[in-house]
Amino acid sequence: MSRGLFALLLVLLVAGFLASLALGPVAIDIRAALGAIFGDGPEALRLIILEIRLPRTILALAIGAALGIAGAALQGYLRNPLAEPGVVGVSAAGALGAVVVFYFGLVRVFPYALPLGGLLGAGIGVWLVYALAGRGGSTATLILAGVAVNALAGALTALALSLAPSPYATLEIIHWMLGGLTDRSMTHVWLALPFILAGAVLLATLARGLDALTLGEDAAQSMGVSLAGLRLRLVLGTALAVGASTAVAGVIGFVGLVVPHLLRGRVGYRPGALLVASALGGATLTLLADLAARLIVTDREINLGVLTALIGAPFFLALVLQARRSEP
Amino acid sequence: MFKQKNPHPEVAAPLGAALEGWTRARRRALAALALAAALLASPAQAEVSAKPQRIVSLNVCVDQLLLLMVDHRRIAALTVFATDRDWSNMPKEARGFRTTHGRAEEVLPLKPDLVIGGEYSAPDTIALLRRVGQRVEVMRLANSIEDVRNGMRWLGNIVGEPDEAEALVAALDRRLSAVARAVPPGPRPVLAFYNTSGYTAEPGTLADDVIRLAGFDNLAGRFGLRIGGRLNLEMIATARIDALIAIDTAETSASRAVETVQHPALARLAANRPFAAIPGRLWTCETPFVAEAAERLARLRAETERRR
Repeated sequence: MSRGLFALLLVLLVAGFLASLALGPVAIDIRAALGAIFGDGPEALRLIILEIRLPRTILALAIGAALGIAGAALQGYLRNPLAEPGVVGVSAAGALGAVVVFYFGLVRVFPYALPLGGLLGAGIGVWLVYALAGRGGSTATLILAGVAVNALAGALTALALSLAPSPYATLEIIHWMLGGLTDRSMTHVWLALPFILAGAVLLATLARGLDALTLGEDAAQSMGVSLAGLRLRLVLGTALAVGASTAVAGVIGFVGLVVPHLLRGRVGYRPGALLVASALGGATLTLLADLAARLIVTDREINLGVLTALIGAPFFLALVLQARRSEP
Repeated sequence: MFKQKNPHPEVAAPLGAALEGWTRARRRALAALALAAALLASPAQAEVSAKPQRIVSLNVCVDQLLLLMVDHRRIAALTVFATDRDWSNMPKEARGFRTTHGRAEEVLPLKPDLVIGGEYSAPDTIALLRRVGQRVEVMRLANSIEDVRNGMRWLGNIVGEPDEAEALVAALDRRLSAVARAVPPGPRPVLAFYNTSGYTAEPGTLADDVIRLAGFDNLAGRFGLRIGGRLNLEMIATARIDALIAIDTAETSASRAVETVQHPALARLAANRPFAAIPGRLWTCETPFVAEAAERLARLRAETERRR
């Protein structure tokens, strides 16, 4: 990644981080907010920063990074620019897993059931998409596989919510289909962060293999890259990162599509370098989108997933048009 | 089906369009039957039959009032929520009754002589039941303590038990006036009520009325929240509040809405000041259980006074 791009993303990320601590229903001075992180200031201030805004900021960064790197990894391995956790249904499958363990009481007995449910769902989703579309399959096949997985996971989620004992459950489908970070707390950070980090690190190790694959499968194998090993790490890493993200925030779509596309040219079209760049870009985009979700309307919040879809869907349309034009 | 704030579970059902065909014929038949019954009935029988004998409830508030007011043999069906601890104050008493999800197809075979729904009962179901000649009454939502009294009296009248209703109202009033009398003189402490998803007790709601009766100043009123307005944890953290209440989530089944009340920030706010968890079922309905909510608030008021 070029130094300039890295610096720009880092500046945006730091600015977003500070804004995310300072802005909200109650305006807080940035220095006071930073002080509160280290335990300074009145109790109300520390409470707002440490228990409300910091967990939200951490989740936005971690989930954005997870979605960015998972999108880049899926695109690199499947050799398909439209592969993305939301588009291919991996996020929706993760949400289904989380919904089942959350609403039927398992999470009360064993809190880590939440990320594990998301992980299992996302794992099944990613495996299904791979089984249906395969590596280097046509874009149409991949998108159709995604439509099928999304439809199935969405229907099963709606079914689970209709059968859930809580009368609120059916009203909460939006929190899973178009997720967000409203009222998420440190509890959710501790539940999701270890899994997201493990998944992101696992996906980052794909860099050398994905670069080698650009030379063709034979060349990659002669360089000592095992396709099966690469695939296993891709499935496991995506399940961990996307599953845990979705389990605490619901589906936040298109981050993994938009970010790698914006950055691909900047890293010299090397899928390996794109991984870490997309993690950084995903974290930045998601944090800024979450700020917008909090600030656009003052008396209530827009779900983050609604905003990323509003950014991402037109982007997706533009990609479709581009693909049509390049067809003979 | 119902708004998210304190949803009264009401059983709702889609419209069964298939039933429309035989509506007119059935209505005519029913009218003929009613006429025949009126001609045949002696005055004494009319007295008895004036009291509905097969009552079906479509609303969990009505469920509880029926259990309190009428001979249980006159209850043809309660709602599925009647035995649910999340929503009903009388889950044990409600056991053993037939229950429905409030679908017209479940209600009609019970041949009820009175169906009682709530404001949030599925309008399609109520319209359908009425179209086939079924008598359906709809209980209003209670937005004040006066509404609670009126609601109980209203139900007592339509089920033919006005004396039972009066007795319940009198018992409620005795307990509420004890709460009002116990309020210490002096400035009112400010209380914040944090309900699911930040909903609260805005001015013009039953909960606001009870909070003020117990001698508190309601934070939602200070902020001038309108109906449907919400508080957020940051507002509560920075406002000067003397006491805090939230709904009791210990017994409720898991949901994102309930999870908002389990936020660690709220637990920390509650740890530093007088706090009470009040189950929503106590004061979302026009039942005598409103008195228990008021008494819990009165205890919190006394604790607040001690810690001032």
